[in-house]
Amino acid sequence: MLGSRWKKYHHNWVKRRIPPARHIILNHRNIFIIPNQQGLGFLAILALMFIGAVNYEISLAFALVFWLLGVFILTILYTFRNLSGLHISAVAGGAIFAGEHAEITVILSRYGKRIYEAIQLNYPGSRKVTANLIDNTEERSSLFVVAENRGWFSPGRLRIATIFPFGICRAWSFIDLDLRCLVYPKPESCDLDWLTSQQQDSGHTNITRGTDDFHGLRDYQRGDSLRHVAWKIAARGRGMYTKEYSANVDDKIWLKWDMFPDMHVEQRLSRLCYCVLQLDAGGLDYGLELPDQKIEPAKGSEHYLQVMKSLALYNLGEDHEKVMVTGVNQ
Amino acid sequence: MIRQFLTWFSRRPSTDVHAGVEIFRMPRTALIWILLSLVLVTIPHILRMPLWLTALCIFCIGISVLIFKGRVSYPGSKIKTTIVFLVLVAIIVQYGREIFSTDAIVGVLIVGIALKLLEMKKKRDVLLVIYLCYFSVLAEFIYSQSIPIALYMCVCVLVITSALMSITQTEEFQRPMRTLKLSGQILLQSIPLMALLFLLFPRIGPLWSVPFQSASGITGLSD
Repeated sequence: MLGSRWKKYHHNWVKRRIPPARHIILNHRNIFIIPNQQGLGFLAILALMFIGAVNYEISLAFALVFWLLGVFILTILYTFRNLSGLHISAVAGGAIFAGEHAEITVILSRYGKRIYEAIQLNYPGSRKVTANLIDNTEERSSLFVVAENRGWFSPGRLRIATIFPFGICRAWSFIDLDLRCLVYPKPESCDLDWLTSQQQDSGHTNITRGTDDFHGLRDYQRGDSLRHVAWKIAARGRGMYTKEYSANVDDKIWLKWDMFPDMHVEQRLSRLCYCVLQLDAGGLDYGLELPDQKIEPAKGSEHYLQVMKSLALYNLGEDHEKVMVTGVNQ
Repeated sequence: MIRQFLTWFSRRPSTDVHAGVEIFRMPRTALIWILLSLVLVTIPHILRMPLWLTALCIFCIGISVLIFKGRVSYPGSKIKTTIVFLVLVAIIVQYGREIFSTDAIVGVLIVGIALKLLEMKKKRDVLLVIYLCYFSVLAEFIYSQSIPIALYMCVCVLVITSALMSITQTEEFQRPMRTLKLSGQILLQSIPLMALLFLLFPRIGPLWSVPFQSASGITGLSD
């Protein structure tokens, strides 16, 4: 209770203090600094040494304790300097499917003589990456964050921290680089044969993917059934291929919301997504009909992106629509 | 709420926690810095220490290098307990009644650092070794405060500080001269702070020096 309220307060405070931006320069406004546990250990040792100095009344021991205390005070400044003035921007990778890792490339750059060492970067849920800007003036680090749900994915705040030079102070900042990455529904395989048989009433027929007759081989693609993988070829080490089967099907295929009755919204979208992948790979015309929108049958990459985008953003509300207008064009 | 606070307080900072286990991979240069600082702070003590103590230090340094190279694994808890027990017995035998003398305490300190080298698994262990090296610099001042010793100890502090810096650096970007230069720079810049604190800080008398019994006379009238 207390924890969640504090988290919310903290979140709002950080948002006010460090507003989201595409390009951020670290300075005294957005860097936080505090002695860490190792620093407390350092102070504890200094306290012990001080007691020793007092007891034996040694001037040099006093000098040593005060010297190290001076180092401690200066370290606060040096740790701050190791982040201050750093330019940070980031690029989100291309669209992904739900459950996959979104790749975010963080670009750190420095202008001027000051070098930056041992800077740790991570997003909530990603692994830590250490960046150094010593000989180079720009460093790119890739971070991977799992996108659980479809829609616009935002990785949250980038945590950038350093304990250099002595590990006794920790300077950090959490910055929102205003990144968005489009996440498509997770494709789930379904029976395409059944899909095509629904549309037999139209006149024109064409050959497309089905499960009737062996047609040829093509590169393996996500979501393909493992039963259709050409294992004999894979075993020879020539890579993964999927066996294609042909079936007689209508020219223009409508992917309809009602094609998958008795299913949840996400399950329907996952299956529609799989159908789109298959049909697009087959180079066919297909249209999409969702309860709130309709996309006329067509083909090509632009059409594919449009269809996938509407699947990804279906029924996600106003906020997502707004982001769609202003967000990064994937 | 108090318990929450305590658990929060005892929680370790999220350094390199991966799957619940803290991994600390010490850079090779950092190990060299640490061993060098141990050797440097031990040298002035060697003449006052029994020979077997010096031999034990050299042995521990050798073993820690072998552990780092992967030739020997970390000693198990049984071996560690045995070693510590034997060393304690040896120290008690060596110093006998003078077990609380400064010599014995300094000996224990040096042996402690050397034995700690055998279990530098976590970052905390490494830090303890470095911090205790600072402490043994102070221990030397108990015996001598001459100018050559003071200058030598400045070099020791520089090396220990470089060791402290090197464990925060990335393995590939370790350059000893740069580490030394930056440590030296910070140490030089903190000299004015030291001078200021030294002048401003009031001198306190010893906290628990043993008072001399017969020094104060007892006055009063007898019945």
